Amino acid sequence: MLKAQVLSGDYILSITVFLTSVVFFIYFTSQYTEITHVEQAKTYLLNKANEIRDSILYYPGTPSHWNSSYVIKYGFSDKRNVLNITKLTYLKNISYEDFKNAYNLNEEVFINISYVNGTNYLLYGLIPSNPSIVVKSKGYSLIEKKVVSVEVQVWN
Amino acid sequence: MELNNQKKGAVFTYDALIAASLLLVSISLVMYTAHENSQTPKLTSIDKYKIATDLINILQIYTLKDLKEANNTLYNNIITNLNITNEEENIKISEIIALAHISGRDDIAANIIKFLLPLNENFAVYANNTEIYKVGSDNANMLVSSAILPISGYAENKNPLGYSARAYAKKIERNTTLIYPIYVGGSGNEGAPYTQTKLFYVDVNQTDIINASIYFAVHYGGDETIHIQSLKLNDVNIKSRLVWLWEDNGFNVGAYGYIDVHDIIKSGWNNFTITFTNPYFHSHTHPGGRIEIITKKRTFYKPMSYKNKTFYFDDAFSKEITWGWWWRSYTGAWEVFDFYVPEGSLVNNATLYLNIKDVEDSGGWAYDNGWIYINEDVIVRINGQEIYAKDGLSGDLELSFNILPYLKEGTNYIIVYANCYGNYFFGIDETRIYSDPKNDPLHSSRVFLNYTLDRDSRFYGYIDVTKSYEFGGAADNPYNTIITLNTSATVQEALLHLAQKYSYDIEVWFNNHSGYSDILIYESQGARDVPSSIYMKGYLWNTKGDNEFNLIDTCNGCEFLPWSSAEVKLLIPSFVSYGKIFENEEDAINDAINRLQNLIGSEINILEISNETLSTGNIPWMYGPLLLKVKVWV
Repeated sequence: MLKAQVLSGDYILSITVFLTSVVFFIYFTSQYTEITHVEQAKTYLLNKANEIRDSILYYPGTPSHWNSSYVIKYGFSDKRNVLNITKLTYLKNISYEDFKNAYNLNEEVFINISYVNGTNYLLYGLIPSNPSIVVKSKGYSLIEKKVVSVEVQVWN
Repeated sequence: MELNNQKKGAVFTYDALIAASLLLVSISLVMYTAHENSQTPKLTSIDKYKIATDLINILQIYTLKDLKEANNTLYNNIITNLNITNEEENIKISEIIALAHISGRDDIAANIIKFLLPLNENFAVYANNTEIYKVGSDNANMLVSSAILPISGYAENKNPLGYSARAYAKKIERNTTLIYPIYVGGSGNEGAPYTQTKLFYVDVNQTDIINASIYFAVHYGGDETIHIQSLKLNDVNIKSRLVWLWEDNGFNVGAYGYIDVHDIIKSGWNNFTITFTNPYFHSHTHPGGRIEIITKKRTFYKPMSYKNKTFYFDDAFSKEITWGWWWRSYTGAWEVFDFYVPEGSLVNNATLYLNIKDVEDSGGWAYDNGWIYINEDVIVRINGQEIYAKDGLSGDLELSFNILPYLKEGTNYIIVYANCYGNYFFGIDETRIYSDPKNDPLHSSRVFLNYTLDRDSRFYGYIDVTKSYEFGGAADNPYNTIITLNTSATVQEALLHLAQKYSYDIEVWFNNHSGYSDILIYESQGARDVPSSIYMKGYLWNTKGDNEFNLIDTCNGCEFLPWSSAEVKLLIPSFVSYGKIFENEEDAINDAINRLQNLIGSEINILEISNETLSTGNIPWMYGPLLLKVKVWV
């Protein structure tokens, strides 16, 4: 009497290898999906961070002489790479939620404007705390003829 | 119970299972390695490019003045070592970096960047691919972004401070030529004398007269001893000085003569008179006669926008001879008088005054072209149009014509016949076309022009020189000659004085080998319509090359003579502007003087030069761009 196919040694070995590879595949597929979701999230957040950074570094906003009472779009520079002190002062008084809403942001944001020697000029928003994802967008500008770095972190 | 010996299913073979396993593992590994980085390279690259751009922009915005307020030590270092003046404090830092690099002071450039951008960032600054400053180390595997800024550069290895000079001639002396054309006129009929008198005014100091010559063309009986009865200049007999440059053979001849009169010409009014006869035809002058005077001149050109100019006829006097009561030679005076209207003129007034003496209504007549009957005592034509023709006249006649409607730009000619026409003469005793501008200008035959000419104003302060270029070569018809110029001058205008053995019907063609070819300068409107001066517009002339003339007369034997000439009026600049930069003032001045002398030429003597120098601290000197690059990497 012939042994059943399923009980042969070769067959058991090949099945074992196959099942192992299936498990391996499922594991990495799930990892890949996770990675893809993370990458997409990072890209989205980075675009948001860049948008905020550009509005700080490059644009005067709309209208160009906006104030706390009337603003359509935020911008914090007189001209490219020259920050407006008055508008930065306004920023301190803008509510965090209003700021996020202006950029259509569900995530959190933290803005750090510092002199190149490390001294802080302005900190705004929430410092990242146990973030699952955090992205940074950085640039440089001038405040009263002094070079400052402008770093925008968006996180969740 | 026995089982059948069946084949194993394909899907459950060992090979298939192993293959599927390998496939699944491979796909898994590919997925894993596909996401090593937390950010996409494209986004990283854009991010770093923006940082590079930010840094370049900061270097473009920040000025030396800002640096002075922030770091006076570094500022002083820059001022001292890069020869920058206080007036240049608004210069951008990017330009200072470029200047430092060009001056071989990359250390200063690095100090500026280090002070201004003490960043915690991997970046480097380059000037024309030379590394000026760098933070961090890079390798080929890093993601690098760059921003580049072209900066108008400064000349390398040159001292930015120096001198430049300009110069102008304040006093000059040059030779220029005055030319007075002798008009065509006649006649002494059948051996009777014809006297032509030319009065002309030389507005030059006596001591400035260098040379003077008379060229004249006649048709006379071929024995000068007998038939040139008088040849005088300022009442001085100059017949013995006469040199025939050309003379036909026979009794009834055309001839072209030359007389050196340098010692007889005088400042002010001069009087040239010739009396001659021709028993075989009628005595008259031919085209090509002129008086040329070379003088010194020291004044500069002063353009006049508003001109009054009077052109006087030569006095043409015909006297008859008689043989008893039964024969007389008859008289008649005629003249081909030409004048010119400069290009661009607006002629406001043009009047012809004629004073004709001893007009006779003798009942004489003539034939034109062999079949047209003419019996008018006085005929006046301008540019081929008859404006006056009357019979039945007698005595002295003073006529006045508004000739403005008949004028044209350039050469204009008037033919006046009194008691004659062509080869026919019917006056009695004397006939005269009267002209004495010295003693009786208001009763002299003349043309008065009043015109406005603004085009000359831009040549104020230039040096005006008139030169006479003889055509040369050999007598010929058609005749070809080339006048080559090599000058920095502008040709204002020119007058051609054509000399021929005989003349009838001419065409003058021109080619300057530089844009103007086959230009018809002049064409006779009728028989013997050959003026003493033919006008040419100045811009036709090639001042740096050949100017070719082709002359044609329809008649055989009417060869053009090599003593034909072009009277060319030149305008030469008398100044040069600022030139190259020199380290010392003396070199700059010498350069300006040399340029001025080369421009003016050796024929003009510069007696005094005035110059101005400028320190080039105030003159920007730049050449093509230096590329400033900021590189940022991950």
